[in-house]
Amino acid sequence: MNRAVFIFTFLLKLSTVSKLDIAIVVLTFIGLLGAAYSGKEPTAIIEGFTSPPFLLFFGYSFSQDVALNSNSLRDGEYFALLFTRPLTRSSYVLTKALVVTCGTLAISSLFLGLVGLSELVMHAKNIVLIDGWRFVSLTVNCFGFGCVVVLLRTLPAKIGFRCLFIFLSICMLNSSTDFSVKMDQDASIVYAWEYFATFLQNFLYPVIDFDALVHSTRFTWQPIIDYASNCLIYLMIAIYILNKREFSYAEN
Amino acid sequence: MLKTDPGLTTEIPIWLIASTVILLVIRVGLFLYEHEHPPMPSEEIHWQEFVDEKPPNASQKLILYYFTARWSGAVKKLESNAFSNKQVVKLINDNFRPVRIVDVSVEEHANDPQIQKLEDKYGLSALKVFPKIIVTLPDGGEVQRCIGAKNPALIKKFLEDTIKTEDYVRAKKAFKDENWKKAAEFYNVFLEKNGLKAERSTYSVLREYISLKLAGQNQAAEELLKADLEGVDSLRWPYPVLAYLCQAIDEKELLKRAGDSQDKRTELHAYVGTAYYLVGNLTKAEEHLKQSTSDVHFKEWPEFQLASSILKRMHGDPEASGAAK
Repeated sequence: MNRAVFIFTFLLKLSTVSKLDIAIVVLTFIGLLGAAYSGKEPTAIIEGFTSPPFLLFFGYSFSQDVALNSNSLRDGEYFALLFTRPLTRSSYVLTKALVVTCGTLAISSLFLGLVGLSELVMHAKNIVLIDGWRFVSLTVNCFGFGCVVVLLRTLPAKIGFRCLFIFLSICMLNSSTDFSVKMDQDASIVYAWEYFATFLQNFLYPVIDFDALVHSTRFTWQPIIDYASNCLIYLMIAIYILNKREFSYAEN
Repeated sequence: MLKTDPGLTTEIPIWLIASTVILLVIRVGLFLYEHEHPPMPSEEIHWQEFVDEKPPNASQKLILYYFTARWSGAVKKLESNAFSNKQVVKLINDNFRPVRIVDVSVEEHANDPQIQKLEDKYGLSALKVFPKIIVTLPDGGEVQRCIGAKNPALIKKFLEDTIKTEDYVRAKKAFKDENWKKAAEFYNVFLEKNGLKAERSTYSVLREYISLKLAGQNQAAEELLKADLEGVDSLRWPYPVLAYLCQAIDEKELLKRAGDSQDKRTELHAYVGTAYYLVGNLTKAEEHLKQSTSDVHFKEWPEFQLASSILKRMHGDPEASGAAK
């Protein structure tokens, strides 16, 4: 692990907290106060803040290396300078995955804290907080999405952004449409589409639900192995891409 | 152009390569093994494949219909997560009669007529969405429904909420059937289980009061109103109606608090009309009850049915004999 990369990422995020970020937090808190006032239990809200689209969004927003990272002409300048130092690209990827994990967990915890605070302010009858196994799942899933985000960030900016868009679409599709609708199609097409969607989800998702796993009536190691191998695959691809990229330090 | 020396920075740790390869091998091996030898569950939901609508000697447990289809990926997700969760399995086995309805219209182009009838009854025919859970009373009244492969925590919450709501739905049905004694009993049980601050408690107190009055238990009704008025949430509708019945506010103030909401006005006219009917002021009662029954959005509302029933009784309809129940 590289301490400089770790601290730099955290400090950069702290120094670039904008008014928009603060406004989002304040508006979320007002919304949560409204929900607490109406007396609804916040189980679904907690599920939302720990869901894959949110974790991907939090992780991506946290992991930005330079303020101009979105400018494709200046993309790579940061890496070119960084790798003139005695730092291996694999070390950078692993450190970055760890720091994005911590950052994503911090942002998620902030929003979960707001849920608890809104219940306290509104004197809710039962204060509902995230339980132990769900918090373990959240931490582990933050690492999973940390690996995805690092992979996206090692790609050239334009390609990375397109990949983020595709991944986010898949996440949102999987989170929002947790049901199947029968279409007037041939049975084989219906089966093929459903299997494809399930395969995509199992293959792509670096997500694990410890709460479901621990309380399951049929324990299996499959989700743990799937999760761990997905994370390692993402890290390996990220290292491979970064190793293949060439960065010019200066011209003339 | 000056380039960095890639040789210095492109080293990949051997442990990372080794662990990735090992995990991938285990992943494929485990997948193939579990495909042949799926893990056996320690406990399972005791599904019935079909249940008659009104079985003889049926238990009073709620019926949990689980509409499913073999092709649906979301169904597999629900079964491997929520329906394999120990707490969910126990909740279902202890409190419900679980019935699994498998839709085979994709594979066989048509369902069994009994299954089709059930799907039609619960509105599944127009848009077939799976998985769908519908909880009903033993005699068919719907309590709650849940669509989609929710995770165990949300399914558990859905089941717990359903159990809490059960008495309210039973009471509402008895209220609509003009079975006032039963309605008062169920509303009372609901309030005992959920307390006065719950979402439906204000309506429960009001309807229990009216049910007791219509059942001729005037003293019990007045005692209920005295005891519970302080406890219910004064910011929730229909608290002003309770306040009016307690004579804490007058009719003008009650109309003001209902605002422009047509739904609230429909409800308040039904209760105010019933109150006038109970004290024998039939002219005023008819005026309010007629207002309540005009321009109603949903004729299934208990308040609409209450107003219609009292109007029928006032006009001497022999079928409206609710007070005798």
